[in-house]
Amino acid sequence: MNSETLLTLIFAYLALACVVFAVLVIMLRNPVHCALALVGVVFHLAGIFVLLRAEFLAAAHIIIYAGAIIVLFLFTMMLLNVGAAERIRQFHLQAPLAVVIGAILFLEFIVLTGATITVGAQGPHSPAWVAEQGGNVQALGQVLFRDYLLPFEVASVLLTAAVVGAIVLARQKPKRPRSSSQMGVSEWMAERYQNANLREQDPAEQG
Amino acid sequence: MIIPALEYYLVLGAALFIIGLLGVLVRRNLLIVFMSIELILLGANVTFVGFAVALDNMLGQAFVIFSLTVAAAEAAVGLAIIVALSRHRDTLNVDEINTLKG
Repeated sequence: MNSETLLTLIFAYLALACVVFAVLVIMLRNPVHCALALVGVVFHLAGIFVLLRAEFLAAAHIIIYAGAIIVLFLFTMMLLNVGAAERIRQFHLQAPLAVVIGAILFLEFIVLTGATITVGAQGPHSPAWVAEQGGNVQALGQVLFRDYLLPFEVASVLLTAAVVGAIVLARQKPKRPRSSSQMGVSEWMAERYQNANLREQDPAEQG
Repeated sequence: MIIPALEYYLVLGAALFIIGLLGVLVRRNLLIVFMSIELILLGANVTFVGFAVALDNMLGQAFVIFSLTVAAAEAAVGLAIIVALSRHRDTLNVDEINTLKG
């Protein structure tokens, strides 16, 4: 067996596993099982990226998706009452129609893939250039921090904004005797400060 | 030169995209709708990396980094919205979440 056949077989396994796990994500009833199926998709996708010699992105996908996003999903499920969601009807009434339209769209994708693949302008980052830089990670770093530094910084601003937004949205609102519209801002702040101090002084209240 | 040909990677990306799209259209559980959106982003990432390697252009791989950033930000904000919403309405069924009034 030559290496090309072997690589094709590995690709076939990884792609099939990806699709099967992805179908499980949208078919399973329990959201925790869906999250675990999503982990399966991400791991096999990382294998696909290794096959494409994009090692850094494979590692980044495992770290960010399996390590951060899906853990966030699981934390949310722990916070919410997932058992109640399991009892509702899982699928919309228009599910068969959606499947038909999805199948048509997928056929369209395949036809377009066969038709437009004559694009040919090769970029500057050939495998030889990547090897000269010392590997995929170094090459990606060269491109990211030399040519696309500004978008990279903008992405960090986006992440900061998302963190602040998530904290503001998910924060438990304090119980107030009067509505905040009737209360001056400084008065409200003073009251909150007082409440916080009381809570710190009295450990029994924290339970 | 990539093995197998670029078309296979594109079809895989399209398949993940369509499955994610179906999840968004079909499921009623808001959490699973969110996971389907992640599937859509993963499908786009496969297409990006496939083209990046086939065309010898690192920009595609750099773009996937930004796509990952957006996915992380979207998950954080979206799940915070879900937590706030379930505190308010005590449901995750997208059919019951149909009012703008608090």
